[in-house]
Amino acid sequence: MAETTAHDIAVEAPAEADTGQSVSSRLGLGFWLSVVWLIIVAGLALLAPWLPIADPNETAVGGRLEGPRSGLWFGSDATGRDVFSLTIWGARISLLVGFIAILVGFLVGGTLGILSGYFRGRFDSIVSFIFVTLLSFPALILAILITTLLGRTVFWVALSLGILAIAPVGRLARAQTLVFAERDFVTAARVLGASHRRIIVHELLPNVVIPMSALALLGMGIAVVAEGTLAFLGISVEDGLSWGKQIFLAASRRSELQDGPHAAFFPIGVVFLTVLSLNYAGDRLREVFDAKELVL
Amino acid sequence: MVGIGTEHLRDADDAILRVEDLVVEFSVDGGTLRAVAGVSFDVQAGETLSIVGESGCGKSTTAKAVIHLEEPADGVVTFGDAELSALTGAELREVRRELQMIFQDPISSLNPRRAVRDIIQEPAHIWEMEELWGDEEIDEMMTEVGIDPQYGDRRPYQFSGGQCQRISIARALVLNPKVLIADEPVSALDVSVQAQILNLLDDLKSDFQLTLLFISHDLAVVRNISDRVVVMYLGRVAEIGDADSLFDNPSHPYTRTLLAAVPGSGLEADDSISGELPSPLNPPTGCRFHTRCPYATEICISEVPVFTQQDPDHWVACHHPQ
Amino acid sequence: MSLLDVEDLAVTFNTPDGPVYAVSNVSFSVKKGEALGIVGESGSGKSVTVKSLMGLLPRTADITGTAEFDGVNLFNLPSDRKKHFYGVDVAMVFQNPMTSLNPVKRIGSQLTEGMRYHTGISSSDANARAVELLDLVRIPDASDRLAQYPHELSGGMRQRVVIAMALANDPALLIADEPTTALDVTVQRDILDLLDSLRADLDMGLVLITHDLGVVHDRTDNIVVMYGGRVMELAPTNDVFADMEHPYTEALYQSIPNMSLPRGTRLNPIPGSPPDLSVTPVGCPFAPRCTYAIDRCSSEIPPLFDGGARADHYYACFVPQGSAGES
Repeated sequence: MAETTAHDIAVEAPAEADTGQSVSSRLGLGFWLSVVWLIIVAGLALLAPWLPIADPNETAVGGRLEGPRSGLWFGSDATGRDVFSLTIWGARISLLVGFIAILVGFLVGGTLGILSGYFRGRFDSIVSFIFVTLLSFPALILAILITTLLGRTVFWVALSLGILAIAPVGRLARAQTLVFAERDFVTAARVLGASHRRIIVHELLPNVVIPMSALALLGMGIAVVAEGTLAFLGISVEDGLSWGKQIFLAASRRSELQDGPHAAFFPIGVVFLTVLSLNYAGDRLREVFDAKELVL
Repeated sequence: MVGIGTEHLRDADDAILRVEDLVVEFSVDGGTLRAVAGVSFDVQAGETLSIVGESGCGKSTTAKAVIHLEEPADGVVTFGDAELSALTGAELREVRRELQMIFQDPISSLNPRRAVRDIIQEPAHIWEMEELWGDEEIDEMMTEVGIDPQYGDRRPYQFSGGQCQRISIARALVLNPKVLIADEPVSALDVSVQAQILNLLDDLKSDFQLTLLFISHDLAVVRNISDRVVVMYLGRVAEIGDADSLFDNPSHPYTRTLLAAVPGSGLEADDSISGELPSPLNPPTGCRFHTRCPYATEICISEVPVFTQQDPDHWVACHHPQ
Repeated sequence: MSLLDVEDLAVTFNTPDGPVYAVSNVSFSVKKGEALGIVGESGSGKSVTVKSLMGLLPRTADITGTAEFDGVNLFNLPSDRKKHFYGVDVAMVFQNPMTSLNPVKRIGSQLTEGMRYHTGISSSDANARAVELLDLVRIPDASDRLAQYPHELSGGMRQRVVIAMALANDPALLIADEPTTALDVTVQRDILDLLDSLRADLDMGLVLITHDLGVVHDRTDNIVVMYGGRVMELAPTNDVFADMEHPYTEALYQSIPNMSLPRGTRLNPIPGSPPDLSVTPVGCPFAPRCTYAIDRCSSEIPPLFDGGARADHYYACFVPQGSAGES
């Protein structure tokens, strides 16, 4: 602070000392445990074809409804398939559906929400009307319509869930944009001559993206569970066994559930831990960044 | 003509910024709110002109309308040779480079997610002048406003309000503006820091050949920095003129009231006013101040006062100037 | 005898980033019918101090020291006494009148609610009392106001209503936290004059918290000047203005623009920024910004000295600038 300018003011350091506490340590152990779990599950799912695990379609890996043992960690199901291998392959479908669904919600809903919050006026009225319409449309009927008309592939199932995500994501993006568009730094950018595009990308997006990511994690959890519901109704992905379908098959006949509950229990446990991790990570992310906002 | 005369304006050739009969309206529930009702003033290069008044008088709206952040409903704003309302969007954007603004809330003025160096460099990015404003030049600018450049990577929330205001000022100066509009730039700051920013503005005025349009409710601050003062009440100019003449010889009863409220002004409380600020939705007829004025008579209710000259450069819009 | 005696008050907030030392070693007292001004800038600890007295701090706040009101320590108040203490014996007026009032309730019911809760008087008696209170705070046409909503009143009138609410149960002590900061200059003086005359008429103790030395100048008996969570100077108001011992008090006074000086007069700001309260204090919090600081100032926390020209003039400084420094 000894250095002075041409004027009588000293050159100053920030008022607040760096506490040395990074964002990562504020997020806490639970957040990082969740992230580790999600990375393991996603990693296994991605690498499934190259992993030294049984072919999920091979029916005679173990006996029928054989309990867990070494080499057959999750046991086998009613047709003798390796439940561990099924769960990993199921993750491929379930996570992909969840990811695509939330990507659709994010891209469409987020874009519409930010634009309508920024430009306001007529465009905002129209977009807000679309959101309300989407929210009031019966979710199940929409999903049934799309999958029966267009086909029960990963893409169409994910899309039908993604359409449902558009309105909640969009409304959050709009609300957040409204808050930040009122701030003087947006007005300052206008006065400086920034284009609308530049204001949206450089001023608004960095502020809106954090609460949106938190919602995306929560939303992906919801999508994974929703896919399971569709599977129970028999309108989810046709080829392959998603987590939902796997659980449905293992739990559909009462006798099977009684004789070999592990065939349903293991995939349920994995789904539970995965959705819990997604929710917890999303919550922590929101809390930590909201708290940081409070300082402002 | 909506306003109350333009005789008080000086020669148009000398003015860097000239505002004639400016009107700004907002549509609200229950009608049209005329926040600024025919305001005229001019600013000469190198001058500091302050607009002073209480909340709701239209001073901030006037400032925003001058750079067309609010679209004026009527009136002419001339900056140099350009008449702002006649410009296309692209032309306006170009002209506004020389007409920059800083705001009241220093923390809200800065994007919380960007590093301060990046914030100050933003105008250079917008106008693709990165080669003119490299890291070295930005460091110099930071030093100029009193922020240690080694902390350029920090975020705004790690700086105090006063420091944030300096960062805002640095950002505005990157475009090398001719006129800096400062909308209550120190009212959100602590007293001890206010003086830092006011001194800084004073220094930068000479270093960057700035003309300052200063919006404030604080008469002591205005007294200290202004060459010329506009007193506004309920969307109209009550009194305008050379700062010394206006403060030494306040003529409008409203100006006298404002001054009497400041400790050490020498004016006494018998100039104090009664009643409340009337609704700008339904302003009083005649002189808008007549409902609260101790000197009001019949004519004040029926007739809008026009400017009369008090001193060579001191005009008042009052039927009974004191 | 003292109405309120605060001894060695310290408030520390435990945040995820570590402790924040908001208030340390604060002591002062208020007598009946007396006005005390607490002056300080943002981060000085003035608001935290009064919030701790009013029991308004969050649980993360760690409060030590004592605050005795009529011989009872406020920090150990049993919860059944609490509800008949705040709003009855001690009342508070906040900075922003709009946030102190419920926007969807009529003035009348907001005024009578507290009264009826605390004293259980009948609704017609409460209404009569409400009119009386509005008269007391000089609101014209008081009886017509009971049916109005807060948004129908101007800012100054709203603050008067808030003051009337605070007075409803005849408090012995009124705490006003920046009561005029949100108001226009022409209204500010009226409200301050009102508080001053109410204090005299009702023989209340008044604590006036402000960032503005000008506000406390004519209207308080004693002043506490706070900085960085500590008391810098504590003395009868006249003595402070006649003889500023602490360099911070002097610097704060000097930094205010003065109407009587010609335009363009260079201002005297205090260099630097307010202290970071998350750092464990080792010296005088003002030392880094102080022109007179000596080595000792940054290594040792100065205690409160009683050494002004007159008795009861306390200052926390090793290099006092007033008459104490000269002797």
